[in-house]
Amino acid sequence: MPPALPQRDSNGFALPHDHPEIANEDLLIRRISIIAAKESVVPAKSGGQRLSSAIFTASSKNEQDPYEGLSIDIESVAHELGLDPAAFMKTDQFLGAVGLTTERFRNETLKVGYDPQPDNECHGQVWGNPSPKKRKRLMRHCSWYIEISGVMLQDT
Amino acid sequence: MNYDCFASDESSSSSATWRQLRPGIATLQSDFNSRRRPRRLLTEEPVQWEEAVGTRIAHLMNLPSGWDGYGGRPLTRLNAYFTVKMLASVCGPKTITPSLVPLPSGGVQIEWHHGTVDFEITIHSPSRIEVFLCDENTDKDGKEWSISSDFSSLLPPMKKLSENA
Repeated sequence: MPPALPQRDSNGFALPHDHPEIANEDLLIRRISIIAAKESVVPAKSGGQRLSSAIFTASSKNEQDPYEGLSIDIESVAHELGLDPAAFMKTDQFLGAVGLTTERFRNETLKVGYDPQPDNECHGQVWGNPSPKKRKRLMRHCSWYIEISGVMLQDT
Repeated sequence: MNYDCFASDESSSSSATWRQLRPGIATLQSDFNSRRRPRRLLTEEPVQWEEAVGTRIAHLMNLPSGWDGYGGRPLTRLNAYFTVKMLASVCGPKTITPSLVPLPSGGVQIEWHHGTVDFEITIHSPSRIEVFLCDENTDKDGKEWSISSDFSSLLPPMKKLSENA
């Protein structure tokens, strides 16, 4: 069974919460769009390109996201819905994806919640606006879920 | 500096161009140069980072909405203007050209990774700016701080980057 549905505000936005049914060992996936794969990279010190920690910045507070969440997908929910997560994550719009356990986010005092959308039942959010140091640590610990050829995650 | 005139046009950020911003930015830079820096001669080489940053900013302002697959916004006019103003204030002619990475919020992260130094300025908005500095030789975890209109804390790292260029 997917996690219990979150409480929502009067406009239908999930209220920030740390969902007790999302386990620390559950993998959270941040997908990388085709455009982001090109725009969100910086030169690696060892040569080539690597992803910027900017991929872990939250959206701004606006009418589309009043709570400034970072969108992620929850792998265990995809399994429970009988979906192949890798196939589900890689669409025409997305080229790759990085993964981190829920524990890594919680260790940075960030909240991990469930926020299913009409077109994505695996969708969740991370709330708490990670600072630069936190984003760096998340970047250091993440690994490829779907690798983008020619792009590194960390400086080696 | 009052940014209201830029903020009022936020909705049109995706159609804004560098050309539209350029006159205002040129005035700012000219004003800055005349007050605090030796005037450059016309025969001198153009400053490399200025052209590269201008081109990159224009590109980021024209990203499609939802560029990151999660509803990300293109770089806003306000943040574009602020970025150029800030860089014109703290960068010298020898400053290494930074990487500019878009944020889903319509902001931008400015990054230098040179030698042992990692220096990043994250502009969510002119009132919310985060700075990260790490020198592997002296402080592996790095340090972070926030700034607003006072850019003085950016000068030492910028000087170090210019010296190592």
